[in-house]
Amino acid sequence: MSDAAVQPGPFVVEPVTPGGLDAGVGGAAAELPMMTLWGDVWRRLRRNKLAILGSAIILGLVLTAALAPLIAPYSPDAQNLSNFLAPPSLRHWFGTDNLGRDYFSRVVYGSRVSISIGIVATFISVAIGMSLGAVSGYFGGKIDAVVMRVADVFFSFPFIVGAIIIITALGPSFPRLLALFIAIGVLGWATVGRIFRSSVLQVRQADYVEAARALGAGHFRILTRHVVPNAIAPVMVYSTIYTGLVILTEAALSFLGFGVASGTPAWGLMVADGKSSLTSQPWLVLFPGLAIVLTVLGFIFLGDGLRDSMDPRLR
Amino acid sequence: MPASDADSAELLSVRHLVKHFPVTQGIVFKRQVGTVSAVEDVSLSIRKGETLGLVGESGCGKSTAARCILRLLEPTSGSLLFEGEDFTRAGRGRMQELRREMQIIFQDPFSSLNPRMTVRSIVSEPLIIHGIYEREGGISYVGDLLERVGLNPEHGNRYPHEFSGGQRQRIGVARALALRPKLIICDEPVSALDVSVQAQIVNLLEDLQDEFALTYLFIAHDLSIVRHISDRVAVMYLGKIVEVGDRTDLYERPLHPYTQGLLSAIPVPDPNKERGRERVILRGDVPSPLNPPSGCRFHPRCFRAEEVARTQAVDTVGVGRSGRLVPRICTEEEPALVERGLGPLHPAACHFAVVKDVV
Repeated sequence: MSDAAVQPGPFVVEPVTPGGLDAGVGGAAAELPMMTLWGDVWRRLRRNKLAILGSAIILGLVLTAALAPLIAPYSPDAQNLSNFLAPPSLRHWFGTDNLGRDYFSRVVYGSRVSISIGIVATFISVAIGMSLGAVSGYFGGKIDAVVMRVADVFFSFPFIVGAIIIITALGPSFPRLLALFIAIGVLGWATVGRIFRSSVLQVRQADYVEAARALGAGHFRILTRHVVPNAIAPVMVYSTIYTGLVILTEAALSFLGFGVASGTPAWGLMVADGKSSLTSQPWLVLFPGLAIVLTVLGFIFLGDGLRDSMDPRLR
Repeated sequence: MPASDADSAELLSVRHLVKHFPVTQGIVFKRQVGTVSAVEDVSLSIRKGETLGLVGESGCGKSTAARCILRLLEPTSGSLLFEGEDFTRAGRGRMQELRREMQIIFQDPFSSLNPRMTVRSIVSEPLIIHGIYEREGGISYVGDLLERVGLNPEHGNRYPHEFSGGQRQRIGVARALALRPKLIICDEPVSALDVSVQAQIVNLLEDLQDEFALTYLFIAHDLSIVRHISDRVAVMYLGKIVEVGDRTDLYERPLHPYTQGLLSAIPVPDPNKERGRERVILRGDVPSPLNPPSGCRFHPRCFRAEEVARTQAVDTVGVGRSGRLVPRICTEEEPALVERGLGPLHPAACHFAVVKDVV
């Protein structure tokens, strides 16, 4: 009945009982279990045995790396030249190497290199890939064309060869671990970028993005509040699996002699050092090799589980 | 256009709106291989407080027109006026202010709400964007809004997927209402809902219109709902408005053969009447807007053109796109949306417009 010319006044609303709203804030949550989408993912993930196994392996690995001095019975660098190349025994569970160092302790300390590479290099790849992918997919046009052609260049490069070139270019005086972070991190962004771009492209067309534009939201708000949260799932899955691949790549680079400095306890390096005596002292290759395989599998299992539980078709 | 163009109470006026989408080929070196004319010279005017229904088949450009009006798509040409002010080329700042006056409700209640946001943050987002969240009373204002659209304010911290389609559409209504706009474009707001829920949402929209003096542009393809809610109705075919009229006038005395075809498709809930009724069945599909028919865009599907062609001299008829005989004027000259015997408030775009009672 109100006249159109009248200034729109405050909403006329039936009075809400005092305290009713405030009570509702806490009350609603108790009424029904809160089910966010991530909560949903978590519920499904818990039922996936392989994913639980993967998480357990990763958790174990992280704990091992963090608590290495408490777990390792010996110092990884303590030499005992009177007891070198000893086979696995109760005193030395994984035997000793050619300098008489306790091999179990070295494998335990080796997790530190793998974990730090896995986390830092993945983080670098995901950070670069997500920013470029988001910009590329969201704005499209020329920016998209340029970014994707650059990504193609990175794709056309064999990963290991590219990493070797970067590490060599940085020079021998450059800290080796840092060189690995940079080489692997920078080379790996292209896949993340492509995956994120394609899911951004999909989300960008959703009506809620249109609605946000109609409300007057700026690009930054639309990207951070609407597009990224809804497009991130495939990247989460990939980066989990990718962490495993990064650890494998580090091992391969160390094996080839482009990784961490020789003498450092690192799994790839230990496999490389042990390979010449594979027939006589197989444990020198076996234990670090197993550690690599187990770690990579752990990340792949978890990534697989994440993908299954985030699949919208199963929702 | 109706004489109301000069009316001071006019809220929104759309003049000769055109929206073309280029069709390109190639990835790096794009070349244009065609143009989809989604909206072709559409003029509309909506007075304060009225509801203008916009009907037409899927793909006829209704939604594109709506998005152009909100400048979510940039119009190719034409002008848009809000309360007499031309905002077709308005800058970012002015547009931001105008967004508080014009809002939209979407068709699909599932894709129009961000699944990662709680209902409360969805409804408060417009207020936060415009920096008036605190001033309007923050959380209690949002609660009031939710209550007003028929939702329990205590459910504000739930996520959209916990609600039914009808409830989700209410959330969309609350979001559109938050800035207290003058105009709300309802883009098929009930098409995706169960019939039982449709009525609830339509009633809600009507109540809100009375309470907040809202003006609606109501887009739909369901003619009975449009008849129920609209004051005036515009019929759109392949990017063009073919007939505009007062609701009762248009439904009782449709002039354009396309309108007649649409109205004839509404079932009449009276078996005797239904049996005795003359059915107008439209042949074929909507032609591609990539390559619209020449002259009158409706001529390949038009029964009226064939009727007329049978009575006309041989030299005035030709073969239309459909392969059937139609008056030559239908393929050569585009009919203007002008008065066709029922006064200037009920124009139709047909060379041979004649009233046909189909309901």
